[in-house]
Amino acid sequence: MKKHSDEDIKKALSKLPAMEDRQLKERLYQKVSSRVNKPQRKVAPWLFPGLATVAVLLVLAVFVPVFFSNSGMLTVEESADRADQSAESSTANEETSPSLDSSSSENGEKSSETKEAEPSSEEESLPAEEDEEEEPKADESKVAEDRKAQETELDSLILASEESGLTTLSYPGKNAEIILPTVQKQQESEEFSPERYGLADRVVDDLKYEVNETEGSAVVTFPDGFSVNGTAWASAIIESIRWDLENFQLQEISVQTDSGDPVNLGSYGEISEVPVIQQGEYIFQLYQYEASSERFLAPISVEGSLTFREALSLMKEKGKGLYVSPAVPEHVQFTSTTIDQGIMNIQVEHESWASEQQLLTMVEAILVTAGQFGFERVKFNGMNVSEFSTYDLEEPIDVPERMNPVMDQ
Amino acid sequence: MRTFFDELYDNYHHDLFQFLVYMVKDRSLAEDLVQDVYVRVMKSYESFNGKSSEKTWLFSIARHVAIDYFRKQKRKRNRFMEFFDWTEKGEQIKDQNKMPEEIAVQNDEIQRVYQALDQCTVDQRSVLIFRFIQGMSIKETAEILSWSESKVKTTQHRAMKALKMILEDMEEGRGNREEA
Repeated sequence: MKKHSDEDIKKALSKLPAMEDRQLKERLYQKVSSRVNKPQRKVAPWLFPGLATVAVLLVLAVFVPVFFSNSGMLTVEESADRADQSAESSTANEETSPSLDSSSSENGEKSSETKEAEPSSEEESLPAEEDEEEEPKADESKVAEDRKAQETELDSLILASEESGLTTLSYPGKNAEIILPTVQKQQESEEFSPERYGLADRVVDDLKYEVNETEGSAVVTFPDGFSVNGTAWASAIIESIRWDLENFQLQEISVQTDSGDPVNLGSYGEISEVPVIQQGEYIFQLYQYEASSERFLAPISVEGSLTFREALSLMKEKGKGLYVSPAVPEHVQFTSTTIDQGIMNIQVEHESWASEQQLLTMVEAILVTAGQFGFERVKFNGMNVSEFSTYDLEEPIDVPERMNPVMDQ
Repeated sequence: MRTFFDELYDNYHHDLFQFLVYMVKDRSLAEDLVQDVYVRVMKSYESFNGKSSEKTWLFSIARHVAIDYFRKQKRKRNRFMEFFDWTEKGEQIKDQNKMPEEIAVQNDEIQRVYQALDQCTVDQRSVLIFRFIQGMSIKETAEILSWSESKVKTTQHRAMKALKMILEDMEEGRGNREEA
């Protein structure tokens, strides 16, 4: 077997032939410019097929039961058919819900109508299930699959359910102004490439964490002779430590060198403690590096002690950093915030939503901010959308435990 | 827009296409991706802050376009695998018919290097293409990848090592087949 030297390989690589693009420059330009100048669709492409499907289903919903009852078919079959229709109409309804445009309230009504229709058809199909379970089950799984497919197209920035084996690792953004906590599977974290997500390399990889959850304290050990260049670097280290350990809900974070001395952090001087994250210290906006398709909820520190309503207003403000944008659209107004039986009620006034994704991102950013302000459940009022993605806006929603999951690597 | 496109095309198109075609190993796909790169570039030209050079910026976008493509492929593949649960066999399925004619006419060693590139990680492949196929400096490569120069050197070292092992495995496999 031949042994290859570095030089052999470099030579072979440099000999790889030039590949010519066979597209003509003019043709390429035409294709590019037609895509760049393509006018934004005013009507979503699925709207007309979606409406047509809804219309067909409505017609079927009226005629099929009549047909079957007239022909004296068994109740079992009738209810199975209805369940099927309810499944399909609920899917169709979800397909129409992203429109959320100027006719958002109309859609809201439609969706609530469909929603109301669902339980009744389920009620009718329930007795049938006792007799024959297979068909309704198949319908249910179809609904679940359809819903799952719909959800996967939306980009959720939070982790709704806590899983074991997760770890929080914080990365600076490319702007080096903010620190972005991410949630990763422990066994995958070593392979994680921040670059792919538009993040910078971690600044605390050399540090060791010892967490004592019983006492609510942690000790962070820096290597002896650790040094930092500049205030931004020092600040990134401190923020990374705080966010890395945020999930443990600690009372105290001590820092020391390997030899047990205080740590010299440049302009911060010698420090032996890092303050833990307090309630109401951060609001959340959206971070996205220019060429990356990945988005993250970005903690933006706020000055002074704000009320939650003030924090919500602040979430709409631009200019919180490079690659950072508000997660709450400008047209959204928070007219009141009240606490009732531990639930934060937010009264929202808004114009049209640009997309279901915009709405989802806003709701998640608010939930995470509410969690940061110490609330456990949030009820949105006045949204004119009842159910979308995995959320039911008619009900109070639990604030998430974790944000920014990156687990498909 | 036309002038800007002409400028980019005249100065960098050859290298840009070359980079994409060696990243994705498929000429017609590279032709689609190169369009995506120009579309992103044209759309975000106003936000180009001039901190990096045009070339660095262009290749950085090209790399992200390629990475986005791989991630989409991975998601699709995962769904497919979950559906059929063919994990083992699925990983082994490779399209052997995609060797471009420019490569097919080269000697065995060049063909093997071309095939071996496929088995390096995306980061390693990017570094190998920039450094040795396109002859960029470590500094230039680091700027495009937004990495430190030392990270480029480390990745390059690992890539060379990986490539060596892959080539040796390929030759060993071929030897075994010939013996058999």
